[in-house]
Amino acid sequence: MRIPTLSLILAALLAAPAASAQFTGLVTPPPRPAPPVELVASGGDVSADTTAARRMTDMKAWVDSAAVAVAAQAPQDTATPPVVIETPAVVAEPAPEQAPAFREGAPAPDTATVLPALILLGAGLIAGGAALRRR
Amino acid sequence: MRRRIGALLYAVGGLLILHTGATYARGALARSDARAEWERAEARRAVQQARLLDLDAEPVLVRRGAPIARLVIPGIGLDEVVVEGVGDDELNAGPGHLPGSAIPGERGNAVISAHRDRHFSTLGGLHVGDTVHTETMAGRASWIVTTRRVVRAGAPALYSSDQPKLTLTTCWPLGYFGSAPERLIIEAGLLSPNED
Repeated sequence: MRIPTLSLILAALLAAPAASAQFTGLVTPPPRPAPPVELVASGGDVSADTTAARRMTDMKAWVDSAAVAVAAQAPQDTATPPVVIETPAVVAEPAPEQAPAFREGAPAPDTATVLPALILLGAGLIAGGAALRRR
Repeated sequence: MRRRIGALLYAVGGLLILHTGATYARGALARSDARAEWERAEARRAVQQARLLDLDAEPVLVRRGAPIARLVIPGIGLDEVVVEGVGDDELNAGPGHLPGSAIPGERGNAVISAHRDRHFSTLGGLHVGDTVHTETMAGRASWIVTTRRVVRAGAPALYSSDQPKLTLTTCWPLGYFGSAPERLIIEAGLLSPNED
């Protein structure tokens, strides 16, 4: 791979995290919960039942579950535009990082730093840019 | 097109170097502040004449980034103010004292760490038998290097001690950059406390 191409790829990889920005998302409504099966009477059951054979005990629960089932089967309103909600860039504060502290048998603290590597990379990019511009 | 890509590379490279330079500059400022704060604290201590080294003193809680000691190693020309903590900001300012470890000179293991490309760049020149000096608000102490070893990065390396002990750590090998697979561990025993 040629050095300018490699430099460009490295630059894109490095710049990607810093370029993360606020996004706008299209939020679709969540799927409605399925009605409790045991409380919804099917059409076949209704036709076969007689008042003498089936006794409904908890009518309030039955009516509520039937209402949910009807609402779930209702056609979606396609005329209404989808709701666009702008999400904030920072949703929640991240949990505080565990600070290194002394404990028995602990490894030595990590003292490596990327700064020298960044200087070298930056110098390489500038050199690559200069070479490209000179042609 | 080539010229545009060249300009882009120029800009990204310049930003990287600018960012790194700013980080180093912040570190230099923080180091200067820590040294000034340390000197002010030393002046106060001189006034109070609180120079006795008490091995059984209660541990003192200090805020992160605050100067807690001065580390002098004549053999490698090192003279740094040690700050509390080993996070990025603290290590950018100077050698960091590992929280929870003893204060240098107190009973226990005092652990001080620093970047291999910055404040501990010459630590490789420290060998068994060399002397190290520390100075805290409790007093001054001299140490003699007893062990020097290189361990894997995640290997257990720090242990408590019944006696005053000083441990200096940095990444290994020196002279490289990027992640470090190993750590240089230098341990020193107390030679003479309270030299004043």
